[in-house]
Amino acid sequence: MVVPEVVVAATKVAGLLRRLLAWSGSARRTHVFTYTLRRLCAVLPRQQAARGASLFVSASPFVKGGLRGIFALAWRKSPRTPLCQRGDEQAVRLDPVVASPFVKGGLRGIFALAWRKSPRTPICQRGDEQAVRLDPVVASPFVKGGLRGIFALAWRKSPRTPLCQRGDEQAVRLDPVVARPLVNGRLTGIFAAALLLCLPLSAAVLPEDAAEAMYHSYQGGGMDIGGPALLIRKKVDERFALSGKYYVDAISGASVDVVTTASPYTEKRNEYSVGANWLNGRTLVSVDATRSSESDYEASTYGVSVSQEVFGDMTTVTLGFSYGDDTVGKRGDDSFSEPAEHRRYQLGLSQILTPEWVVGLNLEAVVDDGYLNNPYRSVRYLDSSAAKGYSYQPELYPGSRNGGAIGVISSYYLPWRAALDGYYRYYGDSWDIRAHSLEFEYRHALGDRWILSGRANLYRQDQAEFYSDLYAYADAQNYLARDKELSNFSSWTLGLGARYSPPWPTGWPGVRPELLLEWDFMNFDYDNFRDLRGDAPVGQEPLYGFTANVVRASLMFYY
Amino acid sequence: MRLTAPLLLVGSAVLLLTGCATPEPWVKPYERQHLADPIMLRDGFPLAEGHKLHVHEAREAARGADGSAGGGCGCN
Repeated sequence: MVVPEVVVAATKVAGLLRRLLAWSGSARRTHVFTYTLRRLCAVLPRQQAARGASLFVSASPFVKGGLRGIFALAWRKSPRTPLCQRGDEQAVRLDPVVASPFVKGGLRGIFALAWRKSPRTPICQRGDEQAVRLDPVVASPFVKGGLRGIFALAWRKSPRTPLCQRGDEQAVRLDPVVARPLVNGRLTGIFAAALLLCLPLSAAVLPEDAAEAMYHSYQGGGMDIGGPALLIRKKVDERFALSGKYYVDAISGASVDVVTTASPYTEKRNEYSVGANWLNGRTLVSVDATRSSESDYEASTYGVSVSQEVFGDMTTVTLGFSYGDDTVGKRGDDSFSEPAEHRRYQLGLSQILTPEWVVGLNLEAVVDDGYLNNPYRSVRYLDSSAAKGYSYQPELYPGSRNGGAIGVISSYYLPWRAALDGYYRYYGDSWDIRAHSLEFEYRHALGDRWILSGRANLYRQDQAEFYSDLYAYADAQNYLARDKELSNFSSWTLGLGARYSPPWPTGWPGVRPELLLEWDFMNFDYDNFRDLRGDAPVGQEPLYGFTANVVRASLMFYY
Repeated sequence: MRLTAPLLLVGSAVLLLTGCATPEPWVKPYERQHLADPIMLRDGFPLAEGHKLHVHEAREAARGADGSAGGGCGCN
């Protein structure tokens, strides 16, 4: 029979509620509980099962065994998410009404997960209300600088009453009367009971544990570059995370500036990287080391950065430094080995301006020393004795290059769940190169599963002071370059992307995949770099230009 | 549109100038759900974002100040 089943279920629920109440020691809740139980007991024997069930679920996020409304949302959007967190501390209060995650005698879903894994320590008490700390087994609703989703919604709409304070932590209660149940985007009573006390604790969290596998491909300008890449990051605890990366560039072909003087080649570059993040309150320290190897180029790079959140976590200041130590070789010449060093100094400032708008300012100085040119590349000069009217000699760059860049970025959240980014960068260096980069990106959500994006990038640079496509005679200057990347040129890029979160069995809580597919179309037009592959008279060759297609396919697994 | 923030900013500035108070953070943590939305993340896929920057950096003379953490590509 159905009715006895409901009674049995209610009895089990009652037992669990009693345990919960014994823990909380709440006289008021006991009263509420007793009242509810009395109502249940009074109704169940006499009424139909449906009546009894509806009475029960009226105080439950579960409708016939399933999560509903806010709880379903919470479950879907924030697996393994506690209510609030600061560092390794959490203040949470479960109200008896929240005992609604207890269904048919057991805790369910996220509640079961959190409850089972989390030891509870009372933090403070006022009257019959108590704040407890759950072990931070679970992430927090604070994601990169703020409360997210439903939590924020509830918080904004609910009056808050301070309950108790310990140090700089404060437990508050959301008023369950005003914070009404959330159905179709509106708050309802159960939710208020579920959220209860959460305080705006620290926003800083380490990134989620994740593994990313990517395949990338670049085709254009005679070059074909592609390969796989793999990234894994894992939190050791809530303060410490490790990451590892492997990246491959398989290169074939030859770009136009060597095709006329050297033969096409194939090459493979392997890059290995390890990193660690350490979060201490509002300070994030990151270190990483990278090793890149190809047959004629070895590079080691070491980086450290410190990020600090200040001003109510509205401002993030980042300082970074990296050092790169390269060894340049030459195919077919084992005795050739030249060093190069790179130092980069970074200062970043990120500022929240409004609840929808965040801006950033980045400054960077780059100092290069050593062998900075390419051992295979040549410059050309007029030579009337040569059949084509010109001859080649090896390029020669200065032994140092000091550059500086200033970048500003703006990200704006649009009310239909979309984002608009604008980015501008100015770059200048001691070789007299001046460059402007401008980029806009728009991301648009389609339902809960898709995010589509479009990107436009414009780039313009002025040449290095010693660059020339055609020198008047041999050894015309101290420094010689005919690298098209040091010439006057403009480029533009149009990019499209799609991000997809596929449906995933809820039986695997905390694990979910996400897919990304991106395609960029790039166009380069050179103002003083000529294409020498034809038979045009010297100095009259057509200006060079090319297009490229770039594809990235990425699979992310959060675990 | 939201005018609270600019007004608060101006108000705080005035208070600061008159020596009455220092500016208070005006966007509370519980008002940041939009900023915390994954759609606001540019680097949700770190490898893909890194590759995008790398493709540009390898073909342009400009570098740096793109918000990415240091490091080089070992390419020339």
